[in-house]
This record gives sequence, C-alpha cells and structure tokens, in this order.
Amino acid sequence: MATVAQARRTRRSWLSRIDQRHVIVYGTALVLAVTVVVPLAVMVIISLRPTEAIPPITGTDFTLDNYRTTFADPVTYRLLWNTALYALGSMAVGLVLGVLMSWFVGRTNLPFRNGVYPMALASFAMPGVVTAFGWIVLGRPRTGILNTIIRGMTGSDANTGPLNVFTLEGMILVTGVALAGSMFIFLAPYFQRMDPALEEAATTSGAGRLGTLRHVSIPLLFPGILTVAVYYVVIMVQIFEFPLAIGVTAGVPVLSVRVFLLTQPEFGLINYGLAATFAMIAMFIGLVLLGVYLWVTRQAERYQVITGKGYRPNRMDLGFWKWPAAVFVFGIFGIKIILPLLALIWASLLLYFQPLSMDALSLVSLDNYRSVFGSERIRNSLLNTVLLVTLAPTLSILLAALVAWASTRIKLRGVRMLEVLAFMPLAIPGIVMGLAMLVTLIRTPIWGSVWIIIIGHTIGFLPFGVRLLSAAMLQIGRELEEAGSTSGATPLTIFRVVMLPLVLPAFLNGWLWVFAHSIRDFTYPLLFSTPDNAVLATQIWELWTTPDIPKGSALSVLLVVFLMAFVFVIRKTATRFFGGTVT
Amino acid sequence: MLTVEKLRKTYESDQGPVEAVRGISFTIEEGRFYTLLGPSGCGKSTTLRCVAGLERPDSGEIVIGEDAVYSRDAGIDVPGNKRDIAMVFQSYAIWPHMTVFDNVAFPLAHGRARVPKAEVRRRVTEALEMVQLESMATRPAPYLSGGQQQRVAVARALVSRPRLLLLDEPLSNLDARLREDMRRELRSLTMRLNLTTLYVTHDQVEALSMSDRIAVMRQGLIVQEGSPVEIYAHPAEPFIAQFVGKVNLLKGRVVNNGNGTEPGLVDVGAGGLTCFVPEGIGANDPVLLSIRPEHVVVYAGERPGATNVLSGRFQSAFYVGDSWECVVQVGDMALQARLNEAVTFSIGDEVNLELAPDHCVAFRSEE
Amino acid sequence: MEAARAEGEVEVWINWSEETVNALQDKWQEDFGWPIKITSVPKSASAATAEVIAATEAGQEVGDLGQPSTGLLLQLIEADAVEARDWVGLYGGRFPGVEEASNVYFDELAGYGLHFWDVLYEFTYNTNLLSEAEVPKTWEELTDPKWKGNIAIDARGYPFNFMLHSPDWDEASIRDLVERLAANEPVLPGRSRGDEVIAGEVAIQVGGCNRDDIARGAPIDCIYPDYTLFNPLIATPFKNAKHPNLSPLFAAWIVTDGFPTYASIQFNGRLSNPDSIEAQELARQSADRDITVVEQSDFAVVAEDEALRRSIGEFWTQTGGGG
Ligand SMILES: Nc1ncnc2c1ncn2[C@@H]1O[C@H](COP(=O)(O)OP(=O)(O)O)[C@@H](O)[C@H]1O
Ligand SMILES: [Mg+2]
Repeated sequence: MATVAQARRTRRSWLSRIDQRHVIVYGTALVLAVTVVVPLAVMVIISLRPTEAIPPITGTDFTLDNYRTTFADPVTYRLLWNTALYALGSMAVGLVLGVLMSWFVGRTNLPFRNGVYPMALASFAMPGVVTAFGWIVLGRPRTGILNTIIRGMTGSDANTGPLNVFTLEGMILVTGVALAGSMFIFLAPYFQRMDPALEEAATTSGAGRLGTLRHVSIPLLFPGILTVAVYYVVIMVQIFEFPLAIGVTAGVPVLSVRVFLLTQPEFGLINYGLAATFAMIAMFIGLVLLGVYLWVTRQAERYQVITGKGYRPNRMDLGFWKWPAAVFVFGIFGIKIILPLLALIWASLLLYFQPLSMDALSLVSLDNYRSVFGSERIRNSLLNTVLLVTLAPTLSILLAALVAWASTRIKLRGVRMLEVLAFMPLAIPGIVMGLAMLVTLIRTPIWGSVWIIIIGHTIGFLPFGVRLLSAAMLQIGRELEEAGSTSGATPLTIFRVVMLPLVLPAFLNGWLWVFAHSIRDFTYPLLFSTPDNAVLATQIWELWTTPDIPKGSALSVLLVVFLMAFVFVIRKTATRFFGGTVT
Repeated sequence: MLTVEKLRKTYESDQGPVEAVRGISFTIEEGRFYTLLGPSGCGKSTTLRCVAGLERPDSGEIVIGEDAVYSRDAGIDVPGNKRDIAMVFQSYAIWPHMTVFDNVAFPLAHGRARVPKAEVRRRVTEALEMVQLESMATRPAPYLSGGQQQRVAVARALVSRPRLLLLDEPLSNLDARLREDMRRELRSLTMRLNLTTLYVTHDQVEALSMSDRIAVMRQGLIVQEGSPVEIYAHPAEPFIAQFVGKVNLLKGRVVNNGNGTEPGLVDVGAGGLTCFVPEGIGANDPVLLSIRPEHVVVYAGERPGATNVLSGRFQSAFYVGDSWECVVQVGDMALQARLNEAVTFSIGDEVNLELAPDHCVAFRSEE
Repeated sequence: MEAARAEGEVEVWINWSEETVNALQDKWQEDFGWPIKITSVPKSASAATAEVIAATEAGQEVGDLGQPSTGLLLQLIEADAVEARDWVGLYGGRFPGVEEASNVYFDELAGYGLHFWDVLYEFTYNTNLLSEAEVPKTWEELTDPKWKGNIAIDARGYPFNFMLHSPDWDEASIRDLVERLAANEPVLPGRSRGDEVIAGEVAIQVGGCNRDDIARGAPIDCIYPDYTLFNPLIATPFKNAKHPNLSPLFAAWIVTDGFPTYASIQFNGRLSNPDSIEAQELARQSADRDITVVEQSDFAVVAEDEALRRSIGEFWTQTGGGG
C-alpha cells in the first residue's frame, strides 16, 4: 500500500501519452480545415483579384472591383429579392406538406404508412434537372400534359393554360412539392418520438383536443419544426436546378443561378472573379442562416422532448378520413415522383418529343433504351459511378459519425468548432464549394480523376450526416460508452464496437441519403468533368443539354428505377437484420 | 489500495460553474468495501468518475495500488481505459446490440486485458456462473429483466479481475426485495474475491449493511468517515444523524456540559435531559439534542428507575411490519418512538417517554 | 504516320452520336487499312474551349480535337492552347481538299485549324402548327406580338452576336431587336435546339436546324431569315492533345475524305459545297426573296462578337422571357 507520497509517478513516454481522443478531434479538424477552409480561402482571394484573373492565384494585385461592380448593379438586388421570395415560398409549401405528412404517418392510423418512408427516400433519386424537365413537360402552357388533359376535360378551346410552370408561383409550387418528401424525413422523427404521455397529461388535465394541440403539441414540436425550416431555407438559397430550368424563362433570376451561369463555359468564359464575388454573397447569406440554424438547434436540443424510450404512440383514429388522408400523402409522392417519371418514360419512348396523343402512340419504341445500353461511353461511366456512390457515402458518413461523436461526446475545448466546420458546407452552395475546390486542385493530379468528385461529395454532404448522427448519438446513454472505457477499451474501439453499432440505423439511413444524392448530383461531376471521370449524372446532363432528350429521359428512367429498387432492397435487408429499427 | 487526495472538480454549466467536489481525501485498504454515502447531488458520482478516469479533476491526486493515475502537480492523467479498474453503472449500461456473452466478454476481447479466445470463453462462463446467469449467455441483452441486466453488469465488471471495483448506485433501479438479495450477493462476491471496492449510494441501509467503512458526503465534502457502527451511533452532525436513520432532534440549551468526561444536562423546555455533550460546547449554549426512535421507550404511568423522562400525549401509531412507529406530542415538539410490542395506547392518552441517556447526543446549534 | 498509327486513338471534344463514331471508324479502316478508336466527349464548343484553356494553363492533357467558332479559336490562340501548322505542306498531298479547308477566313487564324462545317442559324418551325408561308421570314416579323409566347430562343445569347458581322447591324440595333423580342416573352432553353418546337410548345425556334430530327420524322422544318447568320466551325487539334500525332492527321482526314461519311449522318455541311442541303435549301428559298448570308469578314468583329454574345446571354438570364 503506497501512500500518496510514495506512489510511483511514472510519466509515460510521450507516445503512450497521446490521447486517442485528441487524435480523433484534431485529426478530424485537420481534414475538415483542409477540405473546407482552404478552398474557401482561395475563393475569398479570387473575389479580391481583378475580374479577368484566371486561377491558380499567383498575382499579388488585389482590388475590390468585383464587389464594387456587383453592388453597383441593381440586378444584384433583384437577385436577392427573388432568392428570398423563392427560398421562403418553396420552404413554406414544403413545410406545410411535410408537417401534415409527418403527422399523418407518426400520429394517426393512416393506411400503408410504412410505405411512406421508402417513398420519400426513393424520391431523392430523381436528379433535379430531370424532375424539372418532367414538370416542364407536364405544366408548360401549350403542350403541358396536365394542361392538355385539363383543357380536354373542361372542354376549353383555349390553346394555352390553365397551368403555367414558367412563373414564380409555378416554380415555388414545383419546388415545394419536391421538398415535401425530404422534409418529411427530417420532421417525422419529431412526431414519432414525442412522448404521448405529455399530450395525455394535458388531456387528463381537461384540455380539449385543440387545446392540447395548441398548448402542448405545437409548442413541443415547434423547435424541431423551426430547425427543419431554417435548414431548408439554407438549402433553397443554393438550389439551382429548378430556377435554372424554369426560372430563366419565367424571368425570375436567383442568386444560385447567377453563380452557376458564371461558372458555365456555355455562357461565356468562366468569370472567376465575379463568380467568386457572387459566391461570397451566397456564402455570407448561407453563413448567417447557418448561425441561425445552429442557434435554433441548440435551443431545440435544450428543450428536448425526445427521450428515445420505446413509446407505443397512441395513434389518432382518423375514421373514414384516413382514406382521403392516404390519398393526400401518397398523392404528394405521386406528384413528386410518379407524374414526372411518367412524363420521362413517355419522352424516353419517342425518338423526338411529342405531346401525349393517339397519333404519337404509334411512334413509341424502345430504341432509346437500346442505344443507352449500347453506348460505350455510358458503360464506361458506370465504373466511376460505382466508385463514387460506394466511396462518397461511406467516407462522408464515417467522417460525419466521427464529427458527431466528437462534438456530442468528447469534452475538449474547441470541439464546438469542429461542428461549425462540419456545417460550413451547408452554408456554401455546392457550386461555390466545387468551384473553390476546382481552382485549388487544378494543378494536382486529383483534378480530372473521379477522386475529386468523391472528395467533393464527402464534404458537401457532411452536414446532413452530422445532423442525423448527432441526433442519434444524443439518444445513446452516456454510460453505454463509459462502460466501454472502464472495461479498458480505447476510444476508437468504443467508437467502433459500441457507438457505431448502436447508431447503425441512423448510419444506414444517412448512407442511403448520401448515396441517393451522390448518384444524382451533377454539380460536382460537371464542374470537375473530364472524359476520365465521367459518371452517370454527367452523362445525363450531357444528353440533356446536347440536347438529346429522348436518350436523356431513357437514362434518367433507368437511374430512377434502379435507385428505387436499390433503396428498397437495402431497406428490406436492413430491416431483417435490425428488426425494424431502420425507420 | 486507493488513495484520493485533495480532489477537486468543477463543472461548467449554463448557470455558471458547479463545484461538485471541493477537496476530498480518503484511503481504501486492500480488500475493503468502502462506501461514499450522501444525498443526491453531493458529489459522490463525480468522485467515483474521477477515480474511473471518466472525468478530469481540477486538482488533487489519485493513486491506485502503487501508481498515481492522476496528479495535477506531476502532470499525470492516465486515461480511464488504462486504469486497472472495473465499474458498474446505475443504469447497468448493458449494450443492447450484444448478447449477454458478448457484453461480459467485452473487457477481455476489446479491453485492457485481452486474452485468447478459449480463455475468454472460460472466464466469461466463470463470471456468468458467479452471478448465476450461465444459462443466458446467448440471449440478446435487451431480453433480460432489470435484475438480470444488473447481474450481467456485475459479471462484466468482475471478468477482467480488476484491482479496484467501482459501483455507482448499482441497486437503486431494483425493487426492494431484489435489492436486498443483491446486497448480500454483491458483498459475498467481493469478499470471496477479496476485491477492493468503492461503492456509491444514497441509501443508508445499503451503506450500513455492506461497508467496512463509510464516508458521508455533503456538498462536495466528506463530513464524517468511520465504520458503520461509528457513523450510526456517533454521527458527527445532526445532518448525518438524520441521514443514516430516523432521529428526533430537540432544541435545547446546555445547563451543564459535563466537561466532556461525564454526561451533561440539557434543558429542552419540557424538562432537563441527561446526554453526552461534546467538547467545546459550554453552559448556556444552544444545542440540538438527538435521539433515535428505537431508543425512546413509551409507557403509561410511573416506572421506577426511569431517567430522562418527558411526558406527552399519544398522537399516532403506524404499523410497519416488525414494529410500530409512534408519535408523541411533548409540548410543541413531536417525538418519534419505535415500539416493538403491540401498542395499547389510544390517541390522546397521557404517556411518558424515557430517552435512553447513553444514546442522547447534543450537537451545537445556531440559536 | 507511323507514330499516328501507334497512337491508334483519338478523343474528340465534340458531341458525336455513337452511329457517327462507328461509321467514321469503319471509313478510317477502309481508307488507311488500320483501325482507330474514336472517343467522343460531348461538349459544346464553348465548354470545350473554356476547359482546354483552363487545363492547358494548369499543364494538363486535354482531348485531341475541337470545333471552335472563329471567336473561340481566337481565345484558344490567345491562351496559347493551340498550335499553327503548315497543313497543305503536311497533308495536302494525301488529302487535296486540305488546301481549300485551310482557308479559315482570317489570316490571324490561319494554320491553327481547318474549316470543318458551317452552322447556319435558321427559324425552325413546327409543321403541325404553321405552314411555310405563315412562318416569319425576317427578324423584324418575329417581333410581331402575334408570336408572343410562341418563340424559343437560346438563352446563351446565340446567334445575335453574329449580326455584328453584317454592315446593316450594329450593337445598338442588335440590342434593340433583342429587347423587342423579349417583349414576346420567349421560352429560353439554354441551347439553340430543343424539344420545344418539336413538341409544339412554341411554333418557332431560333437556332440551328435539327436536320437529324427532321430525318427521324420530327414535325419541323427550317427557313432562312432575311439575315441568315453564319458561324463557320474549325476543326482544331489542341496543343496539349493526348495523341499529338494522330490528331492533326485525323483533322485533315475528317474535313476531306472522311467528311462525306460524317455529313451523311450528322447532317452538317458546308455552304461552300453547292451539293450540301444548306446550299440547296438556300438556293430554293432565295428564289423568291432576299436572303443575306452574313459572312465573317472583319477580324476585329470576331473579337467583339463573343463579348456581345455573353452580354446578350446575361440579358436573357436576368430579364427572362415569358411567364
Ligand atoms: N456533467 C455535469 N455538468 C454540470 N454539472 C454536473 C455534471 N455532473 C454533475 N453535475 C453537478 O455536480 C453536482 C454533483 O453531482 P454528482 O456527483 O452526480 O452527485 P451524486 O452522484 O452525489 O448525486 C450536482 O450538483 C450535479 O448537478
Ligand atoms: Mg450519482
């Protein structure tokens, strides 16, 4: 028995004193700093260079010209105003639909409610350009399929309308509906995991159903809903597929389209200086919103009603109304996926596009599919695609898990910074991030290989994974990990053997989400595109803009169908393994 | 075996810093069962977690066996997973994604003391036998009752044969019956294995029945340390007296302090009572006189040779199975007494109380 | 020639259909007796140009062959991404047509590439909606409000920039035309051909004629407006080409011996060839009205027209069309 004075005070060698937790935190921070901060710094520098300077950035002359030009131009303010209208409008539409869906699925006896989540996930599969095209085919004034049908049914002899996607309202509606499904994925847990006892307590205190809703349910859900709302405003400021396809004709230019076009050689030599300047504006807005977002989530977490215990939610019996409700919920997916998909299938069966008619029916053939399958270029891009969509989700979610773990579990100074860093890509439009990486890496061998896309996606989709996994980890009791430590396991072992398996359902859902987004995203592949790193999304985009709409449609249909099948199979398998914990 | 010296720990919280542990020191001898007892929030868990390496103290030293595992001055902070300990958590912390076997095997498979597969199997089986769960090895952990989960947690802690076993309120989630059984089992296990044990609880019965030594904590400090008997019979403060059992506290004033050698006399308003008056308390000082209900005798009429008698009016009696808990109103004071035989009084009866002088202790009081 | 044969592969940064690629590979085999593998990377000329410039700057390899317009070729030359050659001396013997093709309109561009084919900007109309007689024949007629919502125009700014080459137009009058067209709320696809007119969403599309779609039976046809804008494309090997030996040989071949095969599938021709569809259609349509083909003659304008295009592109994307 040693007294304190006699105790051996052996300082272990510096190597054995290295704390794995430090290695994890600082290592992750370094990876993030290099991949997030460096490109952004380059971006800032480029925005301060003369307009015509082409990266890489070697010169030393700096100027505020780009900013002067930008802020002197009244168009800039119009862009900002349109962006605000569009982002808030489509978020609001999506939120209302998403909340209703989540409530129906989480709290009522909606028929077939188990089918909703897979549908929502599958609906990610459709690339934005493709959805937008579907909508144009459905809703353009003269030949839009919906318009033809409506005019036919009402016996109207007008030759345009009544719908017109080429308007701000049309754009907001189309985007809002497209968002509803993915907002549902974020919102559903708040509804599913809310302890019904909280509501029951209100009811037994004599509050009516409406009173309970107003005084208990909504206040409890509000922080969660607010979080999702802010998150989506951030996303909507950046989305450009719909505004590009619809907004240009509609005369509603927005910020993201401006940045996109400035980086598109189609529209002239890339103007890096101005693009960077607009990118900085977009990023500034993004960062402000991100700040709001992080603040709101902090409030929401402090206020957590979600305890993660296994509740048996008491579902409200909708009675007869459950059928109209099911029509509503699945109708949204119908509008989001089925209609555009049908439009695409139709387009893919014709050698040149024709409106839906009996005459056109005779032109139907599978030639487009034959040439898609026969195309060597497309076959070659498959390998890159496989590489991309297996590695990017895996790396992204693993990194997200590390960040989430560090920020929720490791008590070290600066850990909060890690989370902010990991969320930065959320504030930065994909286009901006991509452009920043492009100009940073242009002289390296990574440029031109599929790796640059993999890195882009890994970082670009990080925030979602972090959000998902930190939420999941917050629900894992701290002692489950501490028991690992007192059993003598190293932090990494605990992460691997205890934490990861426990959050596996969230991990898997996140993986699928990134997978679906990675396979359909063309922002990064396009910015970095060379013949060697072509992926399916690039092929679709190329066919689309060539334009070879029939083949583009055929390839899109194949992609969407494959993705749906894949998501379905994965989830089926996963449910078998985890006994239904994968929601 | 374990020495904790001047340990301090402050948490940062949204409401500002919380001084959870404010400089505590204690030593546990090899093979002893040592308990930290105190009300919720007094810093017991924090102390334990500092020993386990789950929290980093602000200052102080922690020595396990021969090795300092934490010493601020020497710049030593051995990570929790490198300390030769095992811990049982209040929530059991059984991993729901593993079977019982895998849970118990974890320290041997992924921990400090890794051993070959066959050895793992042998030792896990042995540990499961110790807690009588050998038949449940292949069961997924979530399919166990609370008591069984608790045993798994114990088996997991024992399997690595730690030098020091840490237990944080391991029994508080069990129902009363089970708790009593487990108390006995745990104690006999630690004795059989000659384990040095640091035990945390807020339950005085657990502490008194299991421990070799008890440290009573309040607000981040140890207020008294001693054997269970010492703590119970000679609490250093009314707070401790109250905490380790039921006690009557009567306000009074010292008439004669007995100079610390012989019994003194305290006037409690309703009469003068002979009691032990600790040193440093002088005549006329205000005191609280404490006496436990089991040392109060209630009777009607006169009883020859009775000392320290107060008279009052019988108020109520509750039957608690093995005895009666009675309340007698003496002036403006309500005194508790424990009666072992059937109560024959009715409410409102005039009764006398004898307060056993050997068990009356006076504590200094602030007016 | 041996070095070219050893390379055996050529990567063109031009959008060619698989069918074109296969036909050209067969023809090559027939002409030379040894095979090549042609890879087509579908990029628009402007996209290819921008990428070649960026990659050359970064010291990276690029594709072998592009088809820039004169303005884009000028940019490539200024960025030092292309090299001049003595085409006639090198390939004139084997391919006599090279001499004619080496005339690329301006001395400043000479040697960097070979005249490949000509884009003529027409009014494509939907034959289900309009008869040829109803189609506007002049740019002025296109501004008539009766076409409101019934026109599609390339949002990138093409082809109004080429009007600068006509003495009858200047920047002010071109912008005025564009603004009056904007009042007709055009649909603005980001390209000069598309499904809008084939589908019948609009009756008229301003752009190059989709002769391959016409051949497939699409209900469209094209007329030449009063000022028919003209954009000669130049087959240009890049300096950092992956296959530096094969690429010029291939360029010389594709504009001469390989050209008929190419033209028969891609339906692209040269106006200078009186047998081409373009020349024949032009002859037919100019029988009863005046059609001015706006040729490029002033090199100074070449440098300006691309800037004007971008500026018109900005106009479209920021002011928009219909809706
Ligand atoms: N992680 C923490 N952050 C802030 N305060 C804490 C934390 N853990 C414990 N405390 C506070 O420290 C004090 C002691 O806590 P603890 O050691 O858990 O008490 P006990 O185990 O004795 O009930 C309490 O006031 C508690 O609120
Ligand atoms: Mg505790």
